[in-house]
Amino acid sequence: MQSTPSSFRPMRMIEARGVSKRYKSQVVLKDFDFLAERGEFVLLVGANGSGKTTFLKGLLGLVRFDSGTFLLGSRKIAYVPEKFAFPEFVSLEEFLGLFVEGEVESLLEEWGLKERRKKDFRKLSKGMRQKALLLQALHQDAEILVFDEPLNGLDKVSVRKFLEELKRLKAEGRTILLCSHSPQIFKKLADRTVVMEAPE
Amino acid sequence: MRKVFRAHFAYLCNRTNLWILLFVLLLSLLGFTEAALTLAEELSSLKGLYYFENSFFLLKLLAPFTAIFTFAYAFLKERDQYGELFLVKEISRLWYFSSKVLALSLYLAFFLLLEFSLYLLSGAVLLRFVKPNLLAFLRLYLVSLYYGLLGLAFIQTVKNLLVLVIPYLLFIAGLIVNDSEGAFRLYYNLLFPNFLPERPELVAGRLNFPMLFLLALFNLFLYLEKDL
Repeated sequence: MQSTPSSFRPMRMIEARGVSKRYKSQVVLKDFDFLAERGEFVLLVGANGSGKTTFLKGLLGLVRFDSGTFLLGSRKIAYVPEKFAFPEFVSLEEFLGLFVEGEVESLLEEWGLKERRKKDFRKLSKGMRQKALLLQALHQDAEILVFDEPLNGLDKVSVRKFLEELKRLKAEGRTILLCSHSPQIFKKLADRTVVMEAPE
Repeated sequence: MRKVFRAHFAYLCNRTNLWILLFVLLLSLLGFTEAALTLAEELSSLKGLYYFENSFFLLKLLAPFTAIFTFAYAFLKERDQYGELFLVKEISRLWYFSSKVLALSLYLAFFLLLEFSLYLLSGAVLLRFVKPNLLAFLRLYLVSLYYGLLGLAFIQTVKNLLVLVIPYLLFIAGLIVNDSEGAFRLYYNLLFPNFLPERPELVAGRLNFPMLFLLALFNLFLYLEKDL
């Protein structure tokens, strides 16, 4: 159930009240409340099965919550899913062109991908694919950025680069919601950590 | 919006689809050659008809199979993930789904155009003449589109590729049902369109158009309601 709470203020970019979700007989999310202000970086942590991905997908409208209300302060959203299937016969450059406006060459150079820009995805390593997925989200001029396990397959240099980008986005006033099984990496940067627990 | 279409086609051109396309085209070529070369020389006046009937029968079996697989495979959860990157933005599920079904319909039209060209080319080379019969191919496109959407409805409901055996069996059963006449044949063909055994015309005729529209709507409803 989705509606606009009467007390919603524009500064609140993500607001969820009492959202629940059940898959057949399994309850994955129960009466969960969440709030993120504009420009806030919220880290979402929790054990496997605590409902992190379901909650993120619910916010993004990819999964329907069974009950509760939620509201997003903007539709300018960028998303990095936990799992992603890349097109096989599409180059890195073409892929980014599908999501990023304007020139992508400089971005590829920054991330050490310039020489591979004409390569099809089937010829790229897992880490390079993950960089492409991050790039499409980081450079979309989105107001809300949602990351689900963004460090999959990234090396240390790329993790550092990603942290710098997050810092830049935060300074620009973007709202960031990130869930990760390596929360210590983001601890310094995040404003708040929300711990999710699997419903009983 | 152009970017969404580009993404649809980028994902449609995957190794699995291209192998299937190649396999079906090769099988068709073998079938067309067999149809052109089998008939004895003394019956050369019947060759044109024999060539069409045998070639078309083979295509009747291959085209719905290709459509069912292509439509369903495109909407398998992992093959449809790229949609999430569009759907989180201003693009609605309605637009995304409609554009993807349109892209699949164009892909299917391209496949049948290749088959039609191969049919004409084989006929021209091996028989020196060939009757185009374009209308029959257009009807085959309609039938294939219908079964493609039927396959899509099954995969959206059951989410397992094995379930695609059912729409194909329903199509094959239609070939048997249509050997007998009666009201049941018409009812069956309303739900599962197929050709008359004696000529390349649809049993239910134009009544299949509203059914095709309803099936597309049903698929849209499933897509709007489901969790991605």
